[in-house]
Amino acid sequence: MNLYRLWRGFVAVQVDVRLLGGLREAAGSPEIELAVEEDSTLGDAVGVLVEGLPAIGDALIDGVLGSYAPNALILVDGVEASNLEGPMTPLKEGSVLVFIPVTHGG
Amino acid sequence: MNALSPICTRCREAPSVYFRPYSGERLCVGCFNESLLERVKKTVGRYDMFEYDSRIAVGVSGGKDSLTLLRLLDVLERDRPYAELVAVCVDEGVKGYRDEALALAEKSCGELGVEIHTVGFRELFGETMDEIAARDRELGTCSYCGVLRRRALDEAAKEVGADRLATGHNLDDMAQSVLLNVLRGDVVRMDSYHPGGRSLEGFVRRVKPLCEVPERETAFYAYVNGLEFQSLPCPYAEEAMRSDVRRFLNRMEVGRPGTKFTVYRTGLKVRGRGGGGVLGVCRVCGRPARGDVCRACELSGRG
Repeated sequence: MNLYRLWRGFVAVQVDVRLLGGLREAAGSPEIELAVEEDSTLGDAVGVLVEGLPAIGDALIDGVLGSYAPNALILVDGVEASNLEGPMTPLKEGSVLVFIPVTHGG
Repeated sequence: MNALSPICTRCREAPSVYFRPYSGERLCVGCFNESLLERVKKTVGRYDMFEYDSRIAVGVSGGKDSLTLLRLLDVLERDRPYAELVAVCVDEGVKGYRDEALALAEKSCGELGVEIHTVGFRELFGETMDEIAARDRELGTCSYCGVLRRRALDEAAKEVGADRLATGHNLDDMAQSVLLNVLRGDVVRMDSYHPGGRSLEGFVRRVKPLCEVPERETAFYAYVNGLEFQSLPCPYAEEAMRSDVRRFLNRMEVGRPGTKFTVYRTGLKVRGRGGGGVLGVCRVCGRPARGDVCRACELSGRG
């Protein structure tokens, strides 16, 4: 599945999103190719994802905090995002984002 | 590996991959795995969960918590040559959902060479969860499933001759239970809140070795160790009050790291002040019960 949000004249980078657990079901696909503007952050990518796939937003974004943090772990190139700069973590071409829901049965 | 990743605060060599907000640790994969193993080992020791020769039934659902538990206990019990693990699974009869989970449980057990034993709601209680969900009922589906699953796991543990039943309840589950009991004013149930379980005639002693491991960490462990866990959410998941408490605690933990540990430990401190209640014997199945008939017999229509 491809999701793009491009602005005319801007350079885009493509990142790979891998979804686990209930998020995979919500998206209807385990992997998504996401194109975001150059110098985008993890938070920007999450915004594009949720905009393109509202069903993911319901499962991913906490309604009160407006953040993914209570509901999911996100790994950026194998590192959990809060070990980097959280939603401000910069992305680069080819970054792999793994979304792991944590509020799902055990 | 991400170039921005700081060095592990434990080994001070490898790049870290996981941050623990409640302790400030930044851990590489090796140290993360090691720290989880150490924590579970300490928990098992603190509550005397196992004997040196225990036959431990591990409740395996195919989810991240139970598969993590199975893997960690498999490593821990290698030091105890007389102890044995056997996986016990419950087929509640939820079409589609449980099929995937049981297949994943079988795969994981096969990789570890752990024996697996499955019991079903239909054989034990005469009807599947799909049938219970479809009929007229007073309670939510989770109320039936929770009680009957607990009984089914106990039954399965007995069938395999286990003297302990280990379940994958994590820190989040424990903290949620404390708050739920407070919100419901259920001081008697607070008394049974103990990760080391109780030895009661008629029940296999239930222990919760992951009680001090946050759910985020079981999820991370399962992922970095390549454990394939269930992707489908239960179609009947509807326990509104627990979901509300879970959301509340998750939000609190983001802003105030360590909240879940505090709630969990508070539950342990107030435990034993509710009078406990006297257990009788269920007139249908003969197991310990708070009333004339135990909850499992009542909900499965046998009482």
